[in-house]
Amino acid sequence: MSHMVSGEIEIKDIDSMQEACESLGLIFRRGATTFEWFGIWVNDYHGKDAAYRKIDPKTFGKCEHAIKIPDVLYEIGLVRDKEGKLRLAYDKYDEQIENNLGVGVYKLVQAYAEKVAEKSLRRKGYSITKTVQSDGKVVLRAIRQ
Amino acid sequence: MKEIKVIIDQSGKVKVEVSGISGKDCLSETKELEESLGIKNGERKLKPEYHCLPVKGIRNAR
Repeated sequence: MSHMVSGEIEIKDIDSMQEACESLGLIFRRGATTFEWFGIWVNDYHGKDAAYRKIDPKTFGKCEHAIKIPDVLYEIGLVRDKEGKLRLAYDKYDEQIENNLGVGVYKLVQAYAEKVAEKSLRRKGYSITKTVQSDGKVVLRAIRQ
Repeated sequence: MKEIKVIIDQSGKVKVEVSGISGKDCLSETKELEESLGIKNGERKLKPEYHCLPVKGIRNAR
C-alpha cells in the first residue's frame, strides 16, 4: 500500500445526493428553499453536533434542497454553513429521522459517499465491489489491471 | 494490479487506501476521488510503497 487519506466528506455533488436518497427510499426535493422543523429555535440543544455551531440559527429552516422521509413530518435540509459548505441539517426533536437513518443520518452520508466514490472510480476504469463490515463501515474495493 | 479501497464509517469519515501504485502516480490516482468527496484537506499517510522507485524500464547490466 502506498498512501492513505482520511477526512470528513463535504457535499458537493447534488445528483449523487439525489441518487443516494432514492436508493434509501427518500424523497429528494431539489431546489426546495425551506424544510420542515419545529419552526422556532429555543436554544435547548448543545451537543457537539448542534447545528448552531456551524449554521446561523436565524437561517434555520431555510435550505438549498430538502430531503423527506416518507410518513415523517420533519425533513432534512441541505444547508450552506458559515464557511459556505453544504451540510445536512435537521431537527433532532423528531426522533423518526434518526430512527430511520441512524445517528447523524449516517446511512444517508454513507450512501452519498458511495455514489460519489463509485462514479469517480468508474471514470478511471476501476471495477468495484462493495461490502458492509460488522461494525457498519462500508468498504468499496476498486481494482484495475 | 492497482487497488483502491474506500472505507466509509458511520461518522461520515472516509479513508482511502491505495496499493499497487508507487511514487507520485499514487497521489494523482486518487486526487479526483478525494476532491469529489471533499476530503482533500484530510490526513494523509504515505506508506512504504510510496517511496519505492518503479522498476519498469530498468535493464539488466553486465
